[in-house]
Amino acid sequence: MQTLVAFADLIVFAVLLLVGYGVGRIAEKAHYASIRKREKLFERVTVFSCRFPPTVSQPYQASLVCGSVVVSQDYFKAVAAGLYSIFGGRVRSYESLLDRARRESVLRMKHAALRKGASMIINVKFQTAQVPGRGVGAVELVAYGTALRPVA
Amino acid sequence: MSDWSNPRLPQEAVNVGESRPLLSFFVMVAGLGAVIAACALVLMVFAQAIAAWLPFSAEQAVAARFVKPADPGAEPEATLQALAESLVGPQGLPPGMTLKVHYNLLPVANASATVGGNITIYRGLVEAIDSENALAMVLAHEIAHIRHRDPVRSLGRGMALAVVMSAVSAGAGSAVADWLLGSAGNLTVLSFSRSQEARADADALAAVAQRYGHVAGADAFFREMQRRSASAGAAGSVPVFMRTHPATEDRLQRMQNLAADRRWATDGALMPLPPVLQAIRDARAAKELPGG
Repeated sequence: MQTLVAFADLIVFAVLLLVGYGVGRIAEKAHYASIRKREKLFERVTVFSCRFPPTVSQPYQASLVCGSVVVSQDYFKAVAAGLYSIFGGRVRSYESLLDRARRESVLRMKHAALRKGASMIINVKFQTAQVPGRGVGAVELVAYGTALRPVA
Repeated sequence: MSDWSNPRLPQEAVNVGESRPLLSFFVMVAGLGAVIAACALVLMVFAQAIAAWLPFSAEQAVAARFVKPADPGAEPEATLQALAESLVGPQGLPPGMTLKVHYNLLPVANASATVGGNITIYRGLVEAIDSENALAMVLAHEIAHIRHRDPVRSLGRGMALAVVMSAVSAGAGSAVADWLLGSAGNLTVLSFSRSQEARADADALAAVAQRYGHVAGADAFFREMQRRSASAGAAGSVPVFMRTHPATEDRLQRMQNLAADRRWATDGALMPLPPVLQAIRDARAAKELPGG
């Protein structure tokens, strides 16, 4: 019992690390599965970064659409990122996190476009913002663009 | 509009590095650990070297914070103190250095020297010896540690380790550092190196030879501890003394060689224990044999 108390901090650290790793991995896997499924589903909404629509023969109705997502790191990713910040190199633990956030924000933007009856989004841009707060380590990713709905 | 299209989905493994998170994590942890260990080692060696330059008065001030004041009027302490002072020899102690011998009632067979010239003799040690000569050897050994500033060197080393560890805890994994601080920090504080022990042995033997004119019975306590650990080794209950003062065979051999080199007599009459200490031994013996 005494050793348990003496090693309490280490045990808490190890538990957080294990929970962060286990739960984080399961959540990431599930999220990727959902992302792939919806990417297929929304494939017919096309996105472009150019500012002007292709030469058109029909009139379009343009409106702003945006998709926003806030993601948080898990404990394991945070500790791993701390280590990368010492040794340098690609922060691999954050690469998958931000990849998920980027794709999710595009999916939400496409969803918004579909609800407006649009099938094309131009002038797509991304923005990130760090969510303030001590030890939060969350990031917001916004994708926005101009959805074009053909006017019959 | 047909030439406007999006690439086929899904696009995988472009933006995400192929990753083996656990492997890279452990590689980095090991690397960081090695760097910290190297820093700690360098600092510990450095601190150990400069600690001996600390004035003895500063050492006493440090000791005053955690060495408990002596129980006034404790008779064994006065006797032990007198014996210790008689062992200092004609050359005396370095200027400013003082000794204070404490008697501890714990039944462990051990003795220790710590900062500020404080020596502790445990009841178990008094019960384990049968002559003043053996006690004098142990006392002189601890006095030699103090004379050579071994406790403060060890304390400096432990402090350096604590500083490195606290720096780590502020930065990265504070929990890991706290754990190290709790165990390794305390563990190393007052352990002496093999060479420090050897030097203390040599000095102590010389002091005993000077005091009694021979070195007979000087290693009695070491032999007793060796005997006890041999019989208790299998049970895993090695005496505490053996953990702090490894009384190996070659250590005893070295003492014998030294006595031969210096031509100290190896036999002579043993001094009986002072009456106060003999009473402690008798009380123990009476407890072990309640019928007789």
